[in-house]
Amino acid sequence: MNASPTFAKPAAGGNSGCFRRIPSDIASRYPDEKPLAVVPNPVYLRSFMDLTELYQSVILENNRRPRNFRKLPTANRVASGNNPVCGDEVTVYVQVEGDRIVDISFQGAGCAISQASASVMTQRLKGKTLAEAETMFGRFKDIVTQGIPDESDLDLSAFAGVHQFPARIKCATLGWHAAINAVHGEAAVTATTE
Amino acid sequence: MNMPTTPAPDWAALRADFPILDQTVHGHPLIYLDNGATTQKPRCVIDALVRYYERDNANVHRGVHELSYRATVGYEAARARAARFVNAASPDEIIFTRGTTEGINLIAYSFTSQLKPGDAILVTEMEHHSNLVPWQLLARRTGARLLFVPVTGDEGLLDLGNLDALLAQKVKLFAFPHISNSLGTINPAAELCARARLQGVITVVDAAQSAGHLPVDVQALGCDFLAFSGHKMAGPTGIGVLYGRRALLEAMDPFQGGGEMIASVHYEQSTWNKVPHKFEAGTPDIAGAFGLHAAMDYLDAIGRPAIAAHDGKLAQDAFAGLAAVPGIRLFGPPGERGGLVSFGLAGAHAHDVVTFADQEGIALRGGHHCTQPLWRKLGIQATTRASFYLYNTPGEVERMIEVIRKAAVFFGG
Repeated sequence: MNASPTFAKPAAGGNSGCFRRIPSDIASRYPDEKPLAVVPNPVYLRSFMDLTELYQSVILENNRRPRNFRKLPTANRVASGNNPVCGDEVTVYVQVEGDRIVDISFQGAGCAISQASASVMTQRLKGKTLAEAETMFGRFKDIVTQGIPDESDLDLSAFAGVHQFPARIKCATLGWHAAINAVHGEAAVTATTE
Repeated sequence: MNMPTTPAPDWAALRADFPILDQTVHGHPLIYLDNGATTQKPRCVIDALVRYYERDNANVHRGVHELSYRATVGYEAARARAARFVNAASPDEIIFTRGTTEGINLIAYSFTSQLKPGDAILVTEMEHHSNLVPWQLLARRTGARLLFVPVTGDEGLLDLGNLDALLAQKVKLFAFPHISNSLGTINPAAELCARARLQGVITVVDAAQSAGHLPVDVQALGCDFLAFSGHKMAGPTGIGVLYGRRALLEAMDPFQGGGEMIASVHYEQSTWNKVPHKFEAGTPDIAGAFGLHAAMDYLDAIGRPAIAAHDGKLAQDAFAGLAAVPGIRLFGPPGERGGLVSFGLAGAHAHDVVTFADQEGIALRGGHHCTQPLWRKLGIQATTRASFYLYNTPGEVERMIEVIRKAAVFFGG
């Protein structure tokens, strides 16, 4: 007959439910078995953050009504980005003339961060030179990785809350990586954590 | 004759066995609903690991000293326990692996010399990547074809109308999940194995989502192979089990070469140890086996039928409650199901839903759940999944539904 289950009545200290710690055939080799000390449970330390810090109205709005969400018939550069872990997808179409981004659009599917970021990106990069585009991407990366807002650009700064969610930084930069790759004539990017 | 009655488990008391659950996340009591990815561990499993390392740690099957003896006896006792856990005919039919994925890869690799161009491997459209990609690799190595049992649609059932015709297409191996990790569907494993056996097809059951939830009896199922992971059934990560019928194991090539798996080694060639050791090259996860042993004892003291009834009921309640949320699209069968629910929410991507729920202390999974081809077929990029285990409560399900409702408003606005 098996020992009666102990699960119905946990022992003091929460240390219960142990039905057979040692194979019975060698149990006699442990005459001095002692209970383990009970260790207090850790408390998760990251402070609570209001969701509206991550999902600023700019992000929710750009996700619901993404700007420049279309194929660009005049595009001469195209690049796609995808995040294999979560499945975010963005394709960026760019019309480059000389060293200037004359027009830019995107299509895609994914989380609000990835889609809103691509939407804001197209608004920011249209009309910029390639060098200006690189500089702006650098500023955006600082915002999403360090959380330091840029007072002069409230739409980009809306993404500052992302830095508290390291797993989501790659969502925010996906469309930007695709755009920069497109202007450099590189076809595809796979997201990596910043 | 009166059968002895088993008292109903005291689920609230069992919950106290899991130290990790006693914490707050983002200011809320933790509600852990990502059990399909991995389950939490009861104190007895944690103790088993600690005690092994504090008292018994030594390599197995090598030494003659006391600690090595204890480690070996404990490791082999875990193997015998695993054999009883799935009702294998012998402990020799139990191979310790790193988990379900390694178990399936072992079969796929070791069958390389037994397949030829024109042969076929049959899987289903609901496979986890780990029960698809190893077969793709085997097909590429051997020139065999991959065939698929279709999934009906959002209700997520296997369409078995053409199964016998599919099996007749020179199929050598038929691999399928016992419970779908994405849909919650409980597949009729015994029927599938019986129909395969009629045509001489070898069956592989992916039991990752079932072994810790349902009674699993390999002889009743009539399967040839069955793989599962310790960490999805209250055991440690890094240890899993592959059951294989002895005659098949003996005919298969080894998977990895190294110590333990050999009988004798010469510079030019070697001979193999007998099964199961032929498939366990190198030092195994000995501590993991001790921990898994404790987990199997724990689950069977509660009773897997009771666990299945408990988390299946939670999943059905979640399915019914979520159905009333505006914009929801639910996947999997509406009736009997495994302990999980997958859904899409109009206007809110799964990762946003998961981040939202996390801030409320609720751990969910969002994404493709390693079943990308299935979601492509169903026309959805990602879903949110709530998966349950023995320590989850009806109150947690209610709170999860309330938070999903809030998320729908927040993102859909």
